[in-house]
Amino acid sequence: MTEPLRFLELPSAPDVSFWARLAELKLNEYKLSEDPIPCVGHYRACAHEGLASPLTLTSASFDLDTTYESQIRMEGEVVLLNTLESMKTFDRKGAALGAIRKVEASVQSGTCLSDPTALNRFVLVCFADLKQYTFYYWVCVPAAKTADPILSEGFTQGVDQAACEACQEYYHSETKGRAPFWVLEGGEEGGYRCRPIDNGGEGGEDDEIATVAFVDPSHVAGSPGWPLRNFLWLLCGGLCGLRRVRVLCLRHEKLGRFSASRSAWHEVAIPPAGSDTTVNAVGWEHNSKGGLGPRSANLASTLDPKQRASSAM
Amino acid sequence: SAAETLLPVRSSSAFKEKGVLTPEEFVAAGDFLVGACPTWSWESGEKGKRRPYLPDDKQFLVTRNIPCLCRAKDLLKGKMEEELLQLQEGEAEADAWVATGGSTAAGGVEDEIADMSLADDPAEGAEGSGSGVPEGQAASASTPQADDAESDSDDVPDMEDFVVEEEDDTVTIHHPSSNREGERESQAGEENKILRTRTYDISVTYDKYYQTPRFWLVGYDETRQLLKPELALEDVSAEHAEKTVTIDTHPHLPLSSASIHPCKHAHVMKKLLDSLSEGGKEPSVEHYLVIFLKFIASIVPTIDYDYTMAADIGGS
Repeated sequence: MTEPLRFLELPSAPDVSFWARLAELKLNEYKLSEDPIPCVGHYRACAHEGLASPLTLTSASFDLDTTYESQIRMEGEVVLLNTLESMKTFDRKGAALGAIRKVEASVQSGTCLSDPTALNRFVLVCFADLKQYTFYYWVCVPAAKTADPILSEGFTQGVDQAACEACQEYYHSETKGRAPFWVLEGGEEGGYRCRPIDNGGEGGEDDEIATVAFVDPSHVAGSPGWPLRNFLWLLCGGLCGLRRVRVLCLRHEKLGRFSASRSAWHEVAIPPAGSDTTVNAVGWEHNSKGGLGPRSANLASTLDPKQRASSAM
Repeated sequence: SAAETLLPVRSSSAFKEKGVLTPEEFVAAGDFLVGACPTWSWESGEKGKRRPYLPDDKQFLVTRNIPCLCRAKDLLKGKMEEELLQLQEGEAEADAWVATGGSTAAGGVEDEIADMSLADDPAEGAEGSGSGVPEGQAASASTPQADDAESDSDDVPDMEDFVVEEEDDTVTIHHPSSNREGERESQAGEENKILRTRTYDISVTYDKYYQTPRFWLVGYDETRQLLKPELALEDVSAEHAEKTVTIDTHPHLPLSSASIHPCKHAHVMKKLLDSLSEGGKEPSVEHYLVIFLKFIASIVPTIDYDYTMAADIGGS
C-alpha cells in the first residue's frame, strides 16, 4: 500500500486588519516601492472537524516579534505590486525558489535545528486597488519538491493516550506551544519522551526509523498539513539522511489539547535524493474555485468611509 | 463614545454584587480563559485604538476560524430544544435571556437547504423564520450583497491570463465544492452543508461604559470573503437578532461588526453567579469569562465555539 503521500494545502487567512494595515503601509511608507515587506503569520493545530487551521495574518503580522502561545510562527514577506499587470508577470517560480533557498540556508547553517519554524516561509504577492478597496493576492508556502514523491507506507488513525499526553506536556510547558515539530522517543511500556530536534541531532543512526511529532493544521484523514513537507525534507535530505520516518500528526480537540482519536500515525518513506540536486518549489495556493490563481478581498464595505457612513444610518 | 471617554474606569471590584468587572479583573479572567482554552488568545489590535487602562498586549481576546455549519434559523426545532435542555440542566437555572429560540420556526427549512447559493436571500430568510432582520435592513443588506456575490468573488480581472503551473500531484486541495479527500459522501445534503459553512473570528472586548465584556462576531463565507455584518444576524437566534445584537464599529479593529449589546450583561452575569453560589460553588472572578461565554453560546447556537464546558467553573 505504498503510494505518494498527499499533503493538505495550508489555507491563507488574511483578516481585515491585515489589509487595513497593508493599505496604510503602502500609502505612508512603501508608496511605489515593490520591496518585500517582512511579515509573520501564525497557524495552529487543527481543532475542528471539516475545517483546516489556516495561516492567520493580521495587523500584528507586521510586528515581527509577535508571538502567541499555542500558535506556530511562520516568517514570510509581502510583495506589494503597483499594477495588476505586474502581478500577471510576477516571477512566482523565482519567488518560491527564493524562499526555499532561505529555508535551505537555515538547514545548512543549522539554525533550523534550534528554530524549526525557519523550515517554512510564505510569500504573499498582492496588488492593492486602493480606490476600490480591493486586494488581489496570492499566497505561497513553498515546499521543496523532490524528484520522486514522498511515499506513505502506512497510516493509523488514533494514537495512544500516553503519546498524546507526553506531547501535550512538552508542547505547552517546554515550548509554550510554539514548536512545530520535535522528536518523540520511547513508547510502549517505558513511556514517551519528547526532545527538541537539535540535541543529539544526528538522531537515528542505529534506529532505522526515527519518530517525530508534528503539529498538524490539516483536518483531512490521511493527508498531513503542508508544513510537514519541509520537515521531512530536513529529516531525510542532507541533514539527517533518514530514509523512513514515523510521524505522529497531532491534532487538537476543540478545547485546544491534543486529541488521541483525532491524531494519527504516518509511516513515511523518502526516496534517495539521487544525483539530481536541483530543487523545485511548489506551494502556490489554489483559489476558491480550486484553480491555481489569485484570490481577492473586497473590503469596500468596511474600509470605504463613504460606504461605512451610509451603512451606519 | 463620548460618554465612554468621560467616564472614569471602574476601580473597585463588584463582580459579585453587580456582575461587572474592572479592567484588571477582565485581564485576570482573560488569562484564565486563555490558560483553560488555548484556542483563545490575547491581541493588541490597532495601535491607535489601544485603551490605556488595559495592557498593550492584552487589549482583547480572540478565537479564530470557528466553523458555523448552518444558520440559526435552520436548526431543527428538536435539536434546539435538546440543546437548551442541556444548557438548563448545566446551568442550574436558565435566565429568561438565555432560554429563547425554542420557538424558532422550522418551516421552510427544506427549501432553505435546497438553496445552494452562498448569499442566502435574506427576504426568503425573513419569511422562513419570522426573521432576525427588520425588513428595511434586510432589503438594504441584500442588495449590495447580491451585487457583491457577482463582483466580489474571485473574479480577478482577466484571470485566465495567469499562467497555470503544472499541478503538483501531492497536494490535497481544500476546496469547498470539490471532492474532499477521505470524505466522499457526495449526497446533495452533505454538499449543501459544506457550502453553507461559514467561519467566524470571535472577539471579546472590555466595555468601559457597561463594565462588562462585549462579544463581537466577524464572519467569513465559504470562500473566505468577509461577510457583511448584517449577515451575521442569521447566526444569532431569532429573538436576539432583533433585540440585542447591534452593528457597531469594533473598538480595536478597522471594521464594523455584529455585537451582542452589553446593556444586560451585568444583570445576567449577576444572576448566573448567584445561582452558582446558591449551588454551593464559589465562582471566582477568573471564571467570569468562562461563564460569560457559556451564556453567549445560547444566543449564537450554531457557532461552535463553546468548549468551555470542560473548564472547571467555580470548583474552588
